[in-house]
Amino acid sequence: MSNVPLDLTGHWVGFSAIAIFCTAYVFAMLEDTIMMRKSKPMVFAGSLIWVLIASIYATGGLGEESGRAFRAILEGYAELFLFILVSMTYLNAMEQRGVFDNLRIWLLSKGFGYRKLFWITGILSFLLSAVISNLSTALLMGSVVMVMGKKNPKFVSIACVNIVVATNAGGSFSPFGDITTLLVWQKGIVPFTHFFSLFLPSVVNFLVPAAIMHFFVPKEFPESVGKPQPLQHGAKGIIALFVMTIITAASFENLLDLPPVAGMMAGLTYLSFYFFYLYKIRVEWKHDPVGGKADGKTGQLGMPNELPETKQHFDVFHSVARLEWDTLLYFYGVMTCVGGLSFIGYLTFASKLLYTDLSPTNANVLIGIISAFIDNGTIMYTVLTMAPSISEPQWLLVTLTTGVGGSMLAIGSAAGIGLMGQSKGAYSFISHLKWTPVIALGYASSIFVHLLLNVS
Amino acid sequence: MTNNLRYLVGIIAGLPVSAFAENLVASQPPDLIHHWAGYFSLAVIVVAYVSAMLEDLTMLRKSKSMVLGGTLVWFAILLAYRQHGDVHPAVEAFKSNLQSYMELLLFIMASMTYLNAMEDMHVFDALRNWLVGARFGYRKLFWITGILVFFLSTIINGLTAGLLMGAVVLAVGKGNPRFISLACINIVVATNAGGSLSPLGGISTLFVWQKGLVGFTQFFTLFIPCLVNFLVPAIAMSFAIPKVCPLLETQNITLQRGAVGVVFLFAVTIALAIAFDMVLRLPPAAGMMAGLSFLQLYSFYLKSTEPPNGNGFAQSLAFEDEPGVGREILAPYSYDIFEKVGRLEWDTLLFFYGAMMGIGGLGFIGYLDAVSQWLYGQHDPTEANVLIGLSSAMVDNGTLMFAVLSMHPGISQGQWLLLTLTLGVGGSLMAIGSAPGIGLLGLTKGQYSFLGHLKWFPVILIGYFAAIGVHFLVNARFF
Repeated sequence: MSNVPLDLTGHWVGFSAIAIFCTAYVFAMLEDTIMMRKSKPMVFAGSLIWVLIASIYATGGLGEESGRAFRAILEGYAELFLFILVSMTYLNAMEQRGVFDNLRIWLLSKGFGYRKLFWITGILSFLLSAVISNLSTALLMGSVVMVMGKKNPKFVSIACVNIVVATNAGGSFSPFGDITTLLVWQKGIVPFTHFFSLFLPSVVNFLVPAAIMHFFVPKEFPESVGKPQPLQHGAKGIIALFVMTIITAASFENLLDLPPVAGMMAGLTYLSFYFFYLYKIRVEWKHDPVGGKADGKTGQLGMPNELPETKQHFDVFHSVARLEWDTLLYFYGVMTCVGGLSFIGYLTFASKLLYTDLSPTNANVLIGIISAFIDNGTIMYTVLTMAPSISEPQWLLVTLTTGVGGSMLAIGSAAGIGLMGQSKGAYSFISHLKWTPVIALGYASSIFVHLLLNVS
Repeated sequence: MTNNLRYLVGIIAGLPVSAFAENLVASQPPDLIHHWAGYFSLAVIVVAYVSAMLEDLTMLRKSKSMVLGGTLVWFAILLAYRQHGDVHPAVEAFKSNLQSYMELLLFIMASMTYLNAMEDMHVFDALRNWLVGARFGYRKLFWITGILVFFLSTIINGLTAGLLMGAVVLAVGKGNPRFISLACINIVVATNAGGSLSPLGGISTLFVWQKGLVGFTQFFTLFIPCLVNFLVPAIAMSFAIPKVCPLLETQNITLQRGAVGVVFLFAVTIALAIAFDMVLRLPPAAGMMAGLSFLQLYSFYLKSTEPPNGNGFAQSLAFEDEPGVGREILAPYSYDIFEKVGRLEWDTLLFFYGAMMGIGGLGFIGYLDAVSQWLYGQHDPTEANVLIGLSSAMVDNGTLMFAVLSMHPGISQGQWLLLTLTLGVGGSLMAIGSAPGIGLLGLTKGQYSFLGHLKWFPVILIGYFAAIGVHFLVNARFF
């Protein structure tokens, strides 16, 4: 969208587009108060903005131009959509096999002390969120903390803050970690392996607040709950295939220059063929009276009501269907809105304001702070659409700041918002705010480490 | 122009094509037609198609092998380009394929959401009731939907027209898969036939018109051949339609609160999709998404204004009163719109991902060019046009038409009309040959299937040749 044929920045269409976007964004942020899911106003706003733009272009006989710009946005959305489709399918499949339940039960059964648990949940959040979505990681670890801290709300509160910080930090150094990093990767600005130069800054971002909070964690030992269970049939295979999918996506991008989504779709075929294989084995068990003993389920298999459940268990499309539609549609809205504003010409303006008038480093630090208030994905997509001409270390810096900047407030990241909902009051906006100075210290030191290490 | 064509790939849905033809790169791309990557791609697609057709035997769902096929084709292409240096054109081609897939996906997603919402609100039950009350038999319905869609598709996009009528058929034919299957085949044939006689009806006619090879009014000389193409299979199929009326008993169905609103919004959405395409030059899918947001907001409105003792209560009472046999339990409407979005036919949608990427890859390699060059170089024009029409049963007709147009074969106007006809109606021969067919496969959740369509292949083929014969009779003056 470099050469915009019409400049609508001073036109009423431009002003109304900004007004529409801001209104929709406010509605999306008030999601929990007004009980309207965030995608609804966003998709509406995106459509409206493009109706306005296209009607101006079409009356000027330039309909092809606006149509092309819109299709370019749609292409970016297609990559994001299919990528998330595949990774969510894997997560759903793992969840169905009880992988996450297992991890949770294992943590609960070990009888860790609060301090130990604080560190284990933090480190696990950091590592897991590098691979799976931030929200899922936070909710998983949050559930462990909540069970163990039933009698100690102080622990729940502090451990949740730690989880939020760790999740956001862990998501920032890996292209798979979060939509923010995914967008940067898919744009082709930063190659897969270069993201890992953010590893140390991210670790610092997690460790600084955690080390300080450590001294405020109560020194008690809660009772252990439950007993660890063996993994379900096929669970290990799915995890292995997920790792292979990640490798495929990274190498498609690295070796063939194809968008990461191409590799992800290849990964989806691994899973679907594996499901087919599992299904085949299962059918054989059913016919073979002896083989069924292997898992002690022979009796159940013969029951008539077993069949639909079994089918579902081996139906990869069942996993596909359980997508997070609200998020996916929300990003349709965000991408069309931001793309529309950019097509009007506002983002060139904003980019000039930010990156020319400020130094890139200051601009990126500022963007990170803004991301404590505004959704990470939205802000990252906006920056990417601005396409400022900054160096790769600066792109990495903005990836880092938008990723970890959200930790400063409870409402700044999906992980924080999710935990606030899950903990029912033990972890709240205020309890997070108490630690904001410490988290800000971590934010500053991670930027410092990045500048030291990666910017010459 | 040939260079241009390389970037025009895999537009299965009837989408405006100008956007794809834009990426011209100066450097000479490697020729893959006689390269291992090309042969490999061809083999992979053939195997994937065969495996998809044997779905019922192998129990391997059709999307699985197809997605793998599509992935492998691009893997091979990129590997070959990598060896030659500049991968940029191939990556761009991949992305434009992805984007046209997304348009199809969003379009189907939005319309499925509406259909699911309407079903949950018992709109279709009520419609069926009304049709029963009006004493429409299945045969009458078969003809009404066919004729309506024939005329509708002369004005609006074939995919939209087909999906719209498909929804009606699904509604009235619930519980009678045989009727649904036949009526859907009829809709596909009628839509393609109707779309071929108007420049606005489909992508291939639009190309011919825009190139100035055939004037706007001259298209209508194809009216009689197209009508024949529609009528021949329709008459044959109508004998196979059960002679009964949809349901013998009428149920007392009360529409859910807001049902009328949803139907109205769906009509608005369809209108929007058409307006987006024709007036605003935005993808029709964007109009559908706008319409989806109306539904989202409307269901939010319904949820927040729901009376405390509303429908749910009344229904549970009604159910307790009359637990009669055969009476349908009317589940209370769930306002969760995302649950309706998720109920898509993923197997089919992913199958299209593989098919569009795979065929798009073959087009990018240049096989479609090669086919049309071979056809017009070695055969007389009539033979070539008939053959290319037949091949459009497998490959998207927009792509083929573009391939022929860019060759500039020196043929008469009668032959251009013939080509328009054969490309337009040739897609009816198989379920995957045209956008309406593909859309209906996705919409009907298996009641209209590839094999169900294939059974009627001979009859449709007779209609195909009948249309060509009639064209030579009626329009002899153009040759």
